[in-house]
Amino acid sequence: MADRLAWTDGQLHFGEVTITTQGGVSIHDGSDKTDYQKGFVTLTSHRILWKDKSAQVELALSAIVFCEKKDALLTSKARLVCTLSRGQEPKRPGPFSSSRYDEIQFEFRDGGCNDFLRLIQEELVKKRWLLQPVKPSATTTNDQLHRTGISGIENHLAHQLNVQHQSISGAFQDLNKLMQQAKEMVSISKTIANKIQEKRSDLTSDETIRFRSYLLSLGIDNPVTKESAGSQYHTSLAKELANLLEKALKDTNGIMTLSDAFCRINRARGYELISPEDLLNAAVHMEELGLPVRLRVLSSGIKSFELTNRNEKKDLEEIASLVKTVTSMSADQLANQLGIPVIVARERLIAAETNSLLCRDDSIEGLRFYPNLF
Amino acid sequence: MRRGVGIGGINQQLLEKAKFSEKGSELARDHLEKLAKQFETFRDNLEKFAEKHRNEIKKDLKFRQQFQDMCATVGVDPLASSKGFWSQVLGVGDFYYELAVQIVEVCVATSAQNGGLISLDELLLRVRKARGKSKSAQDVSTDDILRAIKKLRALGDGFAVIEPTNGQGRILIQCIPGELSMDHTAILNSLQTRSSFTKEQLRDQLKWSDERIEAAIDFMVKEGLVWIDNNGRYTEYYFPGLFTAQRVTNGESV
Repeated sequence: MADRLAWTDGQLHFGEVTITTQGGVSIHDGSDKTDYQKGFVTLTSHRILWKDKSAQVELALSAIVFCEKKDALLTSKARLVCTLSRGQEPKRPGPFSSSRYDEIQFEFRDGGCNDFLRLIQEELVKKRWLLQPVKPSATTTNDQLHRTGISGIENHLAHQLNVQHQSISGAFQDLNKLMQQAKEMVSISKTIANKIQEKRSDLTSDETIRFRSYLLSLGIDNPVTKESAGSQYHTSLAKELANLLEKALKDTNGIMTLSDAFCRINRARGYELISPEDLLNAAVHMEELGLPVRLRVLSSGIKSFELTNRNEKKDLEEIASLVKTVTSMSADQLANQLGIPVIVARERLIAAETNSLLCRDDSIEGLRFYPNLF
Repeated sequence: MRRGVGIGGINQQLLEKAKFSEKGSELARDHLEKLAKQFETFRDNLEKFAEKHRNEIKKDLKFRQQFQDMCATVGVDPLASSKGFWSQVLGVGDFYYELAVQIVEVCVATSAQNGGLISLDELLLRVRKARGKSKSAQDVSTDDILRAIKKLRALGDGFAVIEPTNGQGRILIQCIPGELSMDHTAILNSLQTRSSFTKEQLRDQLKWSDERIEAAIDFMVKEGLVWIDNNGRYTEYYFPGLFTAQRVTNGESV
């Protein structure tokens, strides 16, 4: 939509700031080449400015709906694709009077596309041009007439949006500061962790526990935390969950997938939900804590909970005799019968087969199991 | 005393070595103290931040995504544990864990029909429906869903994200374990705007041998991912998961 480009003198307007500049950028109308090749593009808080030896044009950020990157191809370097809105403002004089496309592409022949994209997206969120409606310094009389009429309404809208957007841009600034702090802590943690790993540290076990709890709080992934003997949080969580699950398992034939458990537990809690990793970390410690429920990894790799006192052999024999009563069964039939998930049912049948209790019949109609008569 | 000469020198070296290893632990302890102090400051700052901006994270998709991206760059995972700071103070955890539960429930409900294959768009639509009509319930993006799914993978229940080739096109979510080979995903990815195919089309498009095509189709039929329609001139195979995906893309409700 290159008709949205307008001639400019490149002067910054009141309240406008320059963000970044990149050379070697060519303008494309949609995907068509234009005469504006390899110029300097400048991002400000209000506009994209482009210039070369012969011309200077601008594109208001307010006209941009969104931007994305188009990766480099054989015939072109990376491009910034800006989808533009049709816009209600009167058309300002520019190099193109019309265009068939909804987008403008800026080809970054000398690189810099990624950074530009990131910065322009930030500006598109901040929408600083709404904070002070910018009055272009050189306008035709036509433009001025239009603006005085509408500008009152524009100001009001701008003010409303301004309040909302200022709070978000304030949030971004605060977030940035927080992240800087977090970054520092991450790097200190790495140093400590390295020392622990190379056994060059004499931290007492208490101090190591403190360190691990910092890592847990911050969500820093680190091999040190993985070998942990289970933080106190996860141990007490394990006990709490085992209680809950023991009751639930009685209804599901003694076996339940982890995701099923995850849903039930969080639905029951309502708030202060646990994360999937919390569930897993609690689960791995259940057996050693002697709890009535334990983690079991099925042959297909599915993780599930089962009652510790479940007798595998007895269980499989029951399944085999169930199959016998109906001559043959598929995984979904067994699932229906027992009220367990299909994947677990399938695994049970396969386990029974491995124990020579069942035989399989594998056809395009699906996998069925028969009692083993051999 | 000059270094390295005679017994005195050896003693000196041993002494320095001992000092060095002592210094090593001192340094670690120093680091830990520093970390502890920064931690306290950080906790205060995070609480202030939360007071001001907690709602933004819940309501604003873009802000949430920015937040997540920054965390990833810095090297922290705000969703790792509900005992983590981010979860406790900012409440990000509850948002994503609840979303995870909703995703699992939608997948379980639809897997009987689509064999465990659902498009990201359809999943988003159904999750939004499940969340209710209030605006804040609707403020869920595909980015949020993908992050929640990433976390769900810890449960080992076979959640996988199937990305289209070249980054253009539908993203599919597989929520039943079972290995989809590259051949299977190639067939899926070749169907960007359709939900069905014939063997002839595959032969033209992918240039595979008949055996290869049949092996792929047989597997998927067995797994319940593909249904057969042999009423027409050519036998058509289609993915129920993609069938609904197409309806979603066309703006129909599900």
